[in-house]
Amino acid sequence: MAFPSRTVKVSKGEREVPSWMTWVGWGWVFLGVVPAWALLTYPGWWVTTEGYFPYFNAQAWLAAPRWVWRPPYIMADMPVPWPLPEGVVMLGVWSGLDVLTALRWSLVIALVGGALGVYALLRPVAGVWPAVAAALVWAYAPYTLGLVYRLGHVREVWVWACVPWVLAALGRGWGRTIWPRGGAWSWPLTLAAWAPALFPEWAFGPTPGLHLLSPWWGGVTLAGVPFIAWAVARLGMAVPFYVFTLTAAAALLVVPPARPTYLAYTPPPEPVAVFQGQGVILLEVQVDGRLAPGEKVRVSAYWQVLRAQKVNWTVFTQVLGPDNRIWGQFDGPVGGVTMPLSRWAEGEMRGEVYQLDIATEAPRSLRLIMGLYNRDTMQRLPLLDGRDHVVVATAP
Amino acid sequence: MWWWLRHRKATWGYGVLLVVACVPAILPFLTPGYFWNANDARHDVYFIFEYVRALRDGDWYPRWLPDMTFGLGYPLFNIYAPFAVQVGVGLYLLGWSFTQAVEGVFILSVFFSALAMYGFLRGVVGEGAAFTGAVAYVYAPYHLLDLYQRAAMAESVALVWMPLVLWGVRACVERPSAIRAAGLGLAYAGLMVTSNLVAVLVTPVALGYGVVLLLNRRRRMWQRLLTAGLGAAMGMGLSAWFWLPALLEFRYVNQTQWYGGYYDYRQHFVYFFQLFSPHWGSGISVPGPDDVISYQVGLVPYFLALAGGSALLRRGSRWRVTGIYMSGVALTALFLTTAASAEVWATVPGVAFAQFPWRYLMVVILAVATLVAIGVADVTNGQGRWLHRVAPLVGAVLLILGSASYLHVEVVTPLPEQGPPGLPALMRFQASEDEMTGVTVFAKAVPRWTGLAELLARGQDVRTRVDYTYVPEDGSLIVKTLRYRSSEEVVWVEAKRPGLRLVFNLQMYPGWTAYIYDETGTQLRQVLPWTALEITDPYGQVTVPLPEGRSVVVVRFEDTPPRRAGRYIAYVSLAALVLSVLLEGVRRGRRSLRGRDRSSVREWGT
Repeated sequence: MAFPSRTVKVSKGEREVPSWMTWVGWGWVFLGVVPAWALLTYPGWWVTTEGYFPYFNAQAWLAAPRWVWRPPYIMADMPVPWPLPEGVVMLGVWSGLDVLTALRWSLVIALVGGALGVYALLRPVAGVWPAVAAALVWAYAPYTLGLVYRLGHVREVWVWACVPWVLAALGRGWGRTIWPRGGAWSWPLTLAAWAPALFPEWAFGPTPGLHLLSPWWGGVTLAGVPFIAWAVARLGMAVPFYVFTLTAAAALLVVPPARPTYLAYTPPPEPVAVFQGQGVILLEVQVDGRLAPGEKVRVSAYWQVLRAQKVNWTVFTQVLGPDNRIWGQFDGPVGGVTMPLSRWAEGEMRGEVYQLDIATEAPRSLRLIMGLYNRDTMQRLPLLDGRDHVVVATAP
Repeated sequence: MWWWLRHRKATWGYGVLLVVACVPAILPFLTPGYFWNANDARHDVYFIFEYVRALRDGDWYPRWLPDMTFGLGYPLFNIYAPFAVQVGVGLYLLGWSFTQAVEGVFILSVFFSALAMYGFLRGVVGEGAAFTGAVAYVYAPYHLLDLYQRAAMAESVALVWMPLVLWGVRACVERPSAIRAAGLGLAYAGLMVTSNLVAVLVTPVALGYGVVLLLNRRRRMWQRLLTAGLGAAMGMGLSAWFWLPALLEFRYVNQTQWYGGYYDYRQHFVYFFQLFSPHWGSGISVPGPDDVISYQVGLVPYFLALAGGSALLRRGSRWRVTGIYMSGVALTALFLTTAASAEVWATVPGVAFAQFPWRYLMVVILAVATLVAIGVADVTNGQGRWLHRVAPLVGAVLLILGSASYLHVEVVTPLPEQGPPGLPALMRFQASEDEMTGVTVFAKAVPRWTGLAELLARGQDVRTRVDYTYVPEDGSLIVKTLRYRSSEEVVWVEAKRPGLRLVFNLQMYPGWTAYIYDETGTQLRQVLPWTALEITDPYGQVTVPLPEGRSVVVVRFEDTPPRRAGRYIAYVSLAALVLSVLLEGVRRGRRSLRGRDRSSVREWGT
C-alpha cells in the first residue's frame, strides 16, 4: 500500500508520524475500545440502577413513536423524545433485532462513537497518539463505564458520547486556545475523575456511589481528558506501547469492578406494577392453576429493586370475590425472611413463588390482586397510577 | 559456558529475571494441600497412580490402564499422549506424593514454557522484548485457567513445546542445518507425545509460519525447505510409536465419550463478551453464555498486543513478517472459538479435533504473546531513553498485575470420591462422576459399577481379572490364577466338559491375545489373536473358549502391527537424528579447523 510519505510533527515530544497515521488513529481507537463494549454483547441484560426501564421505555416508544412530544413514559422519563438513541434502537428493531439487543447495540455505538469523538476533538491539537490515549482513557474512565454498566442510563450515555463531537464541531479555535494551558492544568480534574477507581466498592458496588455525583463526575471527567493527551505528548510517550500500556492500566482499574452482573431474563413489554417513589418493580407475574373455588394457585412473581430499600416490604396476594371478600391469601416479606428487600442490591432481580388455597365456598367470579405494604404501619404502597394493588388474574 | 555467560549477559540476565517473574505463578501450587475440585485434578492423580501400578508390574509403557472403567481397563495411553503423565511418574519415583507430582508437573511447565517462549522470541525481537512476551505467555488468563482451574496437565506441558516448535521452524528456515532440523524434530515429537490434540492445532500454525518465512527468503529456498521438512519428518518419526497406533486404533474406542454428548463442540462456543470479560471462577464449561470459568484474552495482553499490531505498520522491521503472520493466527484462532465459525467446524476436517472451541485460545495466547513482545521491541529498539529501557519491565509488571487476582488454587480436603489416592477412591471417583469410565466399541453399555469395582472399593487388591460370575457353580470349571500383572494374566484351568469359556474383566481391544498351553504350561496348543477371541456382553469382555481338560491360559495385551510399525519408525528416526547431529558436528569441526589453518597462514604471512 502506498501511503503518502509526508510526515506531520503535531506536538512537542511526539515522534514524527506519517500523515496516513492520522487516519490509522481512528482504527486504533476503534480497536482499543473493544473491551469496553464487548461486555454489552451478552445475550440479556444486567443489574443496573435503571433496571429494565430503558427496555420498557423503548417498547412503549416503539409501540407509538412520537418525534416531537409524547406523554411521560412509565418512569423516570421526560416528555421529550431523544431522537438519536431512540432512532438507533428503532433501526435495530427494523433490522430484525429484538428490543434488548437493539438497546445493547445502541450503547455499543454510543461508546465507540464517544471515543472517536474525543479523538476527533483532540487529534488536531494534540497529535495522533496523544489523542488516541485520551480517547481510550475517556472510554475506560470510571464515569463512562459506571454510566453504562452500573447505572444503565442509555440516554445519558448518548449525551456523554455526543459531547466530544459537539465540542469538536464548535471549532478548532476551542482547541487552539484551551489546549496549551488547559492540557497542562487539568491534572487535578483527571485525578478527581479517576479517584473513584481507587474506591471501587464505593463507586461500583451494590449501591453505586457514582450515581450520587453523576452529572458532576461527567463534567470533571471530560475536563480532565485533555491532560492525558498533554501528558502523553509532553512526556515523550506518544508511541503505541506507552499509549496502550496507559490504556491497559486504566482498563485494569475500572473494568473488573464495573463489570456487569448479567441477568438471563427477558421481561414482558411492560412491567406489571411500578411502586411509585420506592423503586420497587413487579416485572412479571405468572399464575399457574385455576382461579376457582377449592383450587390451589401458584403465583410466580419477578421483583426488581432500583434503589436500596429501608423497609422490608411485605407482599400481599389475595383472591377476592365480587364483594371484595378475601377467599384466599398469601402474605410474606418479598425475598422471604432470609433475603428481605433491605438486603437487595440496587438493580437486583429475583423470582419467587407464592401458593394460595382458594376456599371451597368461594364464588365463581374471582380476581387475584397483588401489592405491597409496610408491616409496621400496615400502610399499602401506592402504585404509579395511584392505586394500591394490581389485578393479576380474573375468573371467569 | 563462561564465554557464553560473558558475551550473552543480556540473554541470561533476562532469563534469570524471567524465572523470578514466574515465581508468583507457581506460588499457588506451593500451598499445602491439593486442588481436588479443579476439573482434571483427579484425573491427573489417577493417571499417574495407574501408570505407576503398571510400571511396578514391569510395563515400561502401559498402553492399557487396568483399573479404569471399574476394573475392566481401558487403552488410555494408546490413544492419549503420555508425556506429561510420565513426567509426573518421574517425580513420584523421586519420592514425591501423587498430588505433589501433579503440582510438580505444573510448576515445571510454568518455568519451561516461559523459557521456551523466551527462546523463540529472543531471535525475533531481542532479549528485553522477549522477556515481556514470555511473561505475557505465562500470565495469559487461558494459561492460568489451564493451570489452576482446568488442571489440564497435558495442555500445560504442551504449552512448553508450542513455542519450541515455532522456534525450530524459524531456525530451520533462517539458518538451515542438521542440528536445527534435529531440534525441530525433537520439539515436534515432544508436542505430539504430550498432546496429540494440541499437535493437531499447532501443526497448521507451524506449517504456515514456515511457508511465510520461506516466501520471505527466496535465496537457497530448497535448502531451507529441505531442512524444515527433514525436521518435521524426524518429529513425526520420533513420535510414531504413539501417534500411529493412536490414529489407527482410535476407532476401536467409543468415540461418543470423546466427542459426543457433553463433548459436542456446538455447546461450547465462546461468546464474544467472554473473550473480554474479567470474570474468573471455578467450574466446567457449560452450554450457553453463563460459564463460570473464564475464556478471556486478558485486558493487558490485548492492549499490549495492539501496541505490537501498530508496530507492524512500519516497514523494514525484522519482526514484521512474524508479527503480521501472528496477527492473522490470533484472529483466525479467535474466530474459531466463536459460534460464527460453526460452519468451519462442521466442514473443515481436523478443526473439530480440538474437542472444545475455546481450546483454540492456546493458539491465541501464543500469537498474542508474540505481538506483545513486538510492541515492546518497537519502543526499545534503538532508543536510549531510560523510559524505553524499562519498557520490558513495565510491560511485565502490568501483565502480572493484570492476572494477579487469578493466581490462586482452591485447596480442599478430599472427599471420599477424590482421595487419598488409591483404588477405593478411584472406584468411588468413577462411580460418582462417570469419569475414567471409557469403553471400547465392543461394549454395548457403559458400566455404572461392577463386582470387581465393589471389591476394589473395599480396599482389596484383587490380583486377577477372571470374572468368576461366569464360572459355572456346578464345578465343571476350575480356575486358578498363577500370575497376574496389569497387562497379563496366567491362569490354570480345568474344563470338565466342552464348550466352556473363561470370561475376563477386561474390555476387548486390539492387542489382547490368548495363548493356550498344556497343563504344565510348556507346550503351546493354540494362539488366539484378538480377532479370534470371543466377546461377552454387555461390557465387551475378553472371553477365551476353553478346550476340554486341563490347560494353562495366558492372556496378554500385546503390540499390534501399528504399534510395532510405530516403534520401528521411531527407532529409524532416532538413528537418523543422531546421525545428522554427528555429521553436522563433523562438518563444523572441519570448518573450524580450516578456519584455524587460514588464520595461521595469515599469521605466518604477516
